[in-house]
Amino acid sequence: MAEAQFEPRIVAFLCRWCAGAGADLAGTSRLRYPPNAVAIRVNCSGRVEPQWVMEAFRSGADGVFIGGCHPGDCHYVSGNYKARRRVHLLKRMLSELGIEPERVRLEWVSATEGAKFARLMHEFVEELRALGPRTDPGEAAPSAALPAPSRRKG
Amino acid sequence: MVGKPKIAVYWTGGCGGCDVSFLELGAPLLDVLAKVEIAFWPALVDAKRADVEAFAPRSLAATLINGTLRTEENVEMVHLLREKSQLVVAFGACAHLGGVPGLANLVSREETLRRVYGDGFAIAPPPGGEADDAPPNLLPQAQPLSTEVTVDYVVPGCPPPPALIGLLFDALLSGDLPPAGHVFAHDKALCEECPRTREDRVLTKIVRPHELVPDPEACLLDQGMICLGPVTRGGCGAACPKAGMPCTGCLGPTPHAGDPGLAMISALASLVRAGDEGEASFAGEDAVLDSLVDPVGTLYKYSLPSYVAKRRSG
Amino acid sequence: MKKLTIDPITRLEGHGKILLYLDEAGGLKGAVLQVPELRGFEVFCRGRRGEEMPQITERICGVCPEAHHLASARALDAAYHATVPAPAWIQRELFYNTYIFADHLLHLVFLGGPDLLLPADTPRESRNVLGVIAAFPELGREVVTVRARAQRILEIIGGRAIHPVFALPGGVARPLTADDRNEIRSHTAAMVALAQTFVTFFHEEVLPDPGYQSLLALPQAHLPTHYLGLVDPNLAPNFCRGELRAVSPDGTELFRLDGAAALQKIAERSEPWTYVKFPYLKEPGWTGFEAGAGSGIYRVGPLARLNVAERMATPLAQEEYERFLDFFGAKPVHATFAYHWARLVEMVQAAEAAAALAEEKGLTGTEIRGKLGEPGAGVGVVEAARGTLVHRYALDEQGLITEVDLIVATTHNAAGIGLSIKGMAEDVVRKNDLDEALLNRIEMAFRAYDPCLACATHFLPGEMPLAIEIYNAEGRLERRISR
Ligand code: SF4
Ligand code: SF4
Ligand code: SF4
Ligand code: FES
Repeated sequence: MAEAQFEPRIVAFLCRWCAGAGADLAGTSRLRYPPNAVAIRVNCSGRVEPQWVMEAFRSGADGVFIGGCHPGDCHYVSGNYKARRRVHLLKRMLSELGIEPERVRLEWVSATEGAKFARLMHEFVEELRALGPRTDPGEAAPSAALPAPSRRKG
Repeated sequence: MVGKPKIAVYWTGGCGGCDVSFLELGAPLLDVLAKVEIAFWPALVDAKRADVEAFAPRSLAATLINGTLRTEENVEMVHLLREKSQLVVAFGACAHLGGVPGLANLVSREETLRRVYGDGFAIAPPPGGEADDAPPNLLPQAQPLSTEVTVDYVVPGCPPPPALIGLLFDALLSGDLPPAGHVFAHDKALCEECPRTREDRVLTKIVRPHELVPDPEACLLDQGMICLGPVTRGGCGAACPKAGMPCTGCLGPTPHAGDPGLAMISALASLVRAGDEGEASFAGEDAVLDSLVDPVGTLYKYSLPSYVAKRRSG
Repeated sequence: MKKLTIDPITRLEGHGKILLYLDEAGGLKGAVLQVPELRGFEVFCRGRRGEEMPQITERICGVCPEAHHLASARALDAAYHATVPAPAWIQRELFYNTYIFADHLLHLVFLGGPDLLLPADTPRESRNVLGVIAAFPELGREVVTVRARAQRILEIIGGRAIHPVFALPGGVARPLTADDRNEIRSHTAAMVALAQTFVTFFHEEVLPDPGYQSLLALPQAHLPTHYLGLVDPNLAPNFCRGELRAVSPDGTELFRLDGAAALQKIAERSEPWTYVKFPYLKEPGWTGFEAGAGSGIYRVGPLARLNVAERMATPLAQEEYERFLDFFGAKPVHATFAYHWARLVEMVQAAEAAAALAEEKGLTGTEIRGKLGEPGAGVGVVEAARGTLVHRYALDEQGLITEVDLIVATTHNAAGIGLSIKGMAEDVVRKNDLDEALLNRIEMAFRAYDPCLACATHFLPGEMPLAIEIYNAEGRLERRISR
């Protein structure tokens, strides 16, 4: 191909009980999935603060993936339900701010669903490719009220 | 004897409510005015810009600046005042966080000008006038004061409640100054000083203020109103909830909350229910959440320029 | 060519700058009042929740937030087809009269007052409220205390003294309690007492002063225009409800109509050289920048309200109104500097009205919200301290704002203010000795209107700059700001 393909950068917050384990399984099963994501393990999808999602965007992410346990399976009973509601509201806000809500994706992935995880990553990368690099203004207005935007944490 | 300390008060793109709030100190105002010399304050005394230019550097003990930065002239003036002042205080929500006029950042400058004046707008001096007679250019964005000059202290609020202004003057006049960056309000959330009883009840619906006469004792958020008390600094005595209206966040977020809109999204997500939690309730939950209309205008009423990304022009 | 700049204009609400252009001989070539500001409320209000508008639009102006708050609520009442129940109206009117009292007091002492209460040769450093307090310490202290008490009423009813939160479509936020009433009562009594003290003071110290007398008599400050203002069914001024009445320069009634219908009688004149549109009465129409019965230019504010009214609504105000009319001999009164006295007459009425409303049984009534219909479009008209204020909204089915249009007092007065500055600038320049005190006289000419540039720059398509152009002696436009 003549042109280099756009490689979206993804931050993936993965619940360590399910989606994180699913990702590991995908890895150990040598399922091929795109290496675009930086994975951050969390104890529960319900712990993912909207502030983290925005921080990821501010640090240059093109998409944010949140992986949680299937309904009924959350280790903390309802963390994933809370995550779902947060993401729902957050997406509405993003769209008002000119950030495509599709750039945030919440999915249920169990520890045994390595293949599903790999498939979702493929899909997400394709979707983000279709959206292209973020053209919305990602950088926050400079202000003393904000901590200095930090670069992507590994 | 050394003269009284000189102070200045200036407004940029504000409404003047901050100036008036200063006057609302009531009787203590006269004491404050007796102890300082007002060197510049367009709302009250007749000193002009040329007088300020003639002041010696750092000859003003303190300058209180209110209003959001909206024009190039605002920027020039705050730099000028910074140079002449030992301390600069961001006075009020506009200077602190961008304020209500900061909602203008939802629309680009070009779009604003186009909608107000039509296409092809350009700023020009009066014919025959000199170039510097033209009105100043708008900045691309409304900006809080700290984006242009170092801010020593903040008195938050829209406008700052007189009690907090009193705290500032106690500090300035006693010389017992807090560390740089101090915000003259509480670090704790407004809920802590609100007389309403909060039980963190689940919300099965979101109601707008005109849709309900609230119970006088119960927390408004528990009654379904979007009250920003949990994420906003205390210091006003919970004025709005006491009056039966939800807090809209004028004192700015607590240090703990960080971004007020995102923190509130988090809080709401914890409270909203539509029956038992589980897949069967997802659609119902979404409907409740969707009844929060205009989330950006509601959650960032005073703070958009400080927390939300810049809009591209055009 | 020499240029003189007054920057910033001080002791008024908002940013403003005056540019005077002089010819070689020192004569006035032109003058520009420039308001270097744009905040864009009419653009960013779109998409906001309707019920938030009273709390958003009041941030246009911190000196008269109450006026925007209530005009906004009234526009929403209309947009929601709501009938506001009596207890809610009593709260609103008590609140509103208290605001008029407090705002007029602010102007009489803090903003315009120093021009009036201090001798003309007062040095600039003390030509301000501190100078007033130093000259009249007892009155000064009382003014500060009573203003604080008035603000306390605004706080009890409005929730906050500045930027109140209580008015909602169809009513108000909460019922008042018996304790609220008792406290309010104590403050309204102090307001009435101060209003009386001020009247005595005015007649002893201000009116007899040759300086003020000469301003009242100044031909350059005599503008026979039309007048517009709200009146009650008895033709007394009412600040927050009633009908809009317009009278001609000889006092003949042109119309008396409810707000929305009255607006049909007004058109806006665009001039190629300014972004401000000048409203005028369609009948008699636009004839250029001139006063007189043939010109549609009208004025609003305290003087206009006294001119459209036939009487005041309360006894003490009526007494003072009669003294006012006796002094000038005929109504309408066209002397621009009579705005200050008119303000005082209104201040008395507002204090008395507030005191009477504090006694109304319904004040503590619990029926505070009218039933709301489907949201649509609505107009709200009130009299801000400085003149007629109109909010016009359209809402979508979710109750979100789709259209905002506002006409503020200073915009109605734009043509009149322009004419007054011109008159004053010519007078001052003729004196050929442009010292600072003389330049202040130019500022005084529009300070008399208590203009609010903060308000003026946020409404109407035409915000920045509010440029008022001055014609030279031959009637030729000297200066303009063009697109
Ligand atoms: S902070 Fe509020 S009161 Fe102060 S200038 Fe801004 S809008 Fe006005
Ligand atoms: S009413 Fe608002 S401020 Fe008061 S407790 Fe409830 S959420 Fe907190
Ligand atoms: S309750 Fe909230 S909006 Fe009201 S004054 Fe206090 S901080 Fe400001
Ligand atoms: S533990 Fe996996 S989502 Fe809560």
